[in-house]
Amino acid sequence: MNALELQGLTKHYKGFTLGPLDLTLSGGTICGLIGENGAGKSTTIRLILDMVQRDGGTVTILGRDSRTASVRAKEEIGVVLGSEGIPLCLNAVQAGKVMAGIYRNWDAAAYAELCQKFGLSDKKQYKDYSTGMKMKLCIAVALAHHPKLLLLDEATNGLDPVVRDEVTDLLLDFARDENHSILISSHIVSDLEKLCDTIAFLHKGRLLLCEEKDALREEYALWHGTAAQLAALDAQVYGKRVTPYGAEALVRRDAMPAGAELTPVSIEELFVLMVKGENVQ
Amino acid sequence: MKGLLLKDAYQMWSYTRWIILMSVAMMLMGTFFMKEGSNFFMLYSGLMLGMSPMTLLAYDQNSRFSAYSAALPVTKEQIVGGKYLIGLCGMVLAELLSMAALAAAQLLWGAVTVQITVATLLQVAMLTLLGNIILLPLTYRFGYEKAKYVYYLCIGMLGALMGITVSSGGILLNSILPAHGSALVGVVVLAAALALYALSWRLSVAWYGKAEQ
Repeated sequence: MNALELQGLTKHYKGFTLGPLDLTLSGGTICGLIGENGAGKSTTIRLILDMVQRDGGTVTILGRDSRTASVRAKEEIGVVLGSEGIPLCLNAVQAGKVMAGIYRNWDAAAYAELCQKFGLSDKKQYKDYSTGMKMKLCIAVALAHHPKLLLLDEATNGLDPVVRDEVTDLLLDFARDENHSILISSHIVSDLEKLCDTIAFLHKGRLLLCEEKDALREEYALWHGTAAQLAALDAQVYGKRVTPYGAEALVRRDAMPAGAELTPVSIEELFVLMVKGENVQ
Repeated sequence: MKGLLLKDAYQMWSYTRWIILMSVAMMLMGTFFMKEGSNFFMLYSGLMLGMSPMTLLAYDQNSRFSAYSAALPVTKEQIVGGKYLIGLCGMVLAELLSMAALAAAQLLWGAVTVQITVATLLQVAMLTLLGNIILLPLTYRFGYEKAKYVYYLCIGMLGALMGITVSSGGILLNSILPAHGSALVGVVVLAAALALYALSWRLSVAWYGKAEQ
């Protein structure tokens, strides 16, 4: 069973249209939703959660239509919306007690363990936490009721590299179970590159592509040459960068002639060049 | 639902406990002013206690809990209902405080008639409910930032009304709120106010989430 299926998901705003989006997240996988600020990443997650009314399409979460599923189905979803949502006056213990009254399968011991692991103070109020601490509390809340699907919106923002690494390990550990899946959005591509099995590129509300990370690295490469050679290149260029020192172009490996100077492309470069190129089919 | 109410209890303790303390102080003043037959401070105390749901909702919207709660396994009816339940608790507390203040006034001054008691309790109930009936749906529809202007307008109008009432010896307010009706009229008015309260809850449920979109 797929953890998440989006079909033709659409939302219109004045001056911005998201979709139609088609995306599938299989069990036991992590999908990274990459996009620049304002690309529609947060809106996508809010549409999945029915926090925003969609204009078209369907959302199926863990085999159930999100609109007709009972509210209890949300027990199986862990959500982080940036560092937002926890009442500012609560401390970690109070937040745990509140959530214990909301989630039937709340695991107080697991929550306490996560709080301890993240070094979250029992006494401090949420408003007095640093950005990183806020994020850690949100992640602890999202994990402590044993969800099957995690929806994380910009969940690694504001974390220092050490904590980010801890969180990454935690999420990788979570997704090791084949019944667990994660959809994580971020504009920090390096985090997603480390975490994800699948990458979905969102740009100006359109899904440019959605493919396995390893396949993307195999399919695409960076071509290097001069500006003149680039102009004469007989292959589709998905994005390019021309500097006084030379030219780089994002190309498909299979479309390049033998002997062309190609280097592997990182997901970050792939994303940046594609967004600059904006001519992906 | 239990978790939502607990969250509101924590928030009330953090942010609005001074309102409750002020309300108790107002009731004490009401006891002394009852010597001259004025229940102004008792009504004002009820008005303050009636503000709690609006205040809590403003804090929810400020922390973005309003948006986050849509991702939690709770229904819209429960999320909105929690605020209305707190409004009712505010009314009950205001009534209990009013009864205590009236009883104290009777012991001290012996000036409290059955008619004043019934009228005061009814007026306090209506004042605590009225603000929430009007303002909670507006806040769910437009968000606290926009609804607060209506809120300020209502508070201003009520303040002005109360000021005029005090200067007119309570005649004006008594002509608007049921001050001289029979117990039957009182029950009917209270039932109508509660029916409006339920209607307001339904409207808030229908509008829930609109401010987030």
